[in-house]
Amino acid sequence: MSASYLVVDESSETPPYRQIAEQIRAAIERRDLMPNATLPTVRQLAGDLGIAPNTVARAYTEMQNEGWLVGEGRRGTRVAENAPLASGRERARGLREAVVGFVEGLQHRGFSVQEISRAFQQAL
Amino acid sequence: MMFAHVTHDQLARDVTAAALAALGIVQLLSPGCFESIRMYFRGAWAGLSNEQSERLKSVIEARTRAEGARGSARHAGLFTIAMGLFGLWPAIPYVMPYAASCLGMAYATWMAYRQFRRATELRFAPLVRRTPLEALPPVAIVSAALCLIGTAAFASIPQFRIAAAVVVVSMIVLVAIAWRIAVAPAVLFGTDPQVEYAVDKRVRFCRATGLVALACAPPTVFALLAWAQLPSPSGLLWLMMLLVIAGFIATRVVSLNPLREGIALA
Repeated sequence: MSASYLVVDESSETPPYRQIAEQIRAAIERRDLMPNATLPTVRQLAGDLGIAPNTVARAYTEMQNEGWLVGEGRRGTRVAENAPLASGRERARGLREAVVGFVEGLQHRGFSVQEISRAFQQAL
Repeated sequence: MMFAHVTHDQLARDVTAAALAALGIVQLLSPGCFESIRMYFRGAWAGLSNEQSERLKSVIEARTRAEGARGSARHAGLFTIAMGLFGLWPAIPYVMPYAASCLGMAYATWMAYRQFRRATELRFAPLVRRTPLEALPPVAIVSAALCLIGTAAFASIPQFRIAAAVVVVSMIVLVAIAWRIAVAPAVLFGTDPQVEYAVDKRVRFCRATGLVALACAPPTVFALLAWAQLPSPSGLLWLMMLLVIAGFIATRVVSLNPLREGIALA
């Protein structure tokens, strides 16, 4: 079975719990994590990532509140059967908004459109 | 006839001391020979494409560099030699230095893990739930428990009480270290997470089961030597000795089994 992998960038402006939640959400949307798939325990994920268990617990709680995950006490946490998957159009809009926000941030930092475009092409 | 005047106890003591000294010298001269992870992948290359073999080789090399615990292995080597000399002292049970040297080897393995965990700031985590039983299968735990019970039975004989207690304590400590390795975090650098995860799983299994097999070695040596000294052992003690030997063989088979297996990479 191929696994998805999470990474937490401590230097990012996005809080670690949100980075975790966003990556799990993305794995569910890509269908790398199928409905009812069991997630690692809070302790295991925190240990693997080298972060505090509270951070992982917060990410799981937030995703449970949003309906993505289901907590089953000692049996762990699994992907909800009816996770609120975005439609293709919503996903495309989300991606567009994220890219626009990112590009605007770079322009505020003084990068030209050509520089940003070149960097994107190199990165991709 | 040369050894005719040497008692059984003295002979066992001398052989143990010589074996420990030789083991310690090997550890000192070739510190990678006991804890190097390369040996866990002997059978892993069959069926891999050139590209997959290169990826696996590069991950194994990166991990070996990151563990860099040769200092700990050398310390364990010095300790093993010291235990060999210590074993010549007639006042102590000769199985005690052997049990202590096994703890020294476990220390080197554990230090390799600790060093590895500190090797990276940015860590990748697989979104897969693990259980400690994947690294330490129930058959290894049950076999070690049988070995422990068998050894503890020898404590009922006054002349072996101290030695049996020492061996049991060493065994419990070794199994505890094996358990810590089984539940330790997976450390992935993110360069090639899929291969890193496969390597981590194999290393975790081999080290945890290898330590359990190592934990069962001193009880086996102790039981065989104690058995040889008993003039008329009871049927129960005979059964206990069989338990110890069976436990050791079972843990050894479990720990060596994956070494010949291939590794599945996408």
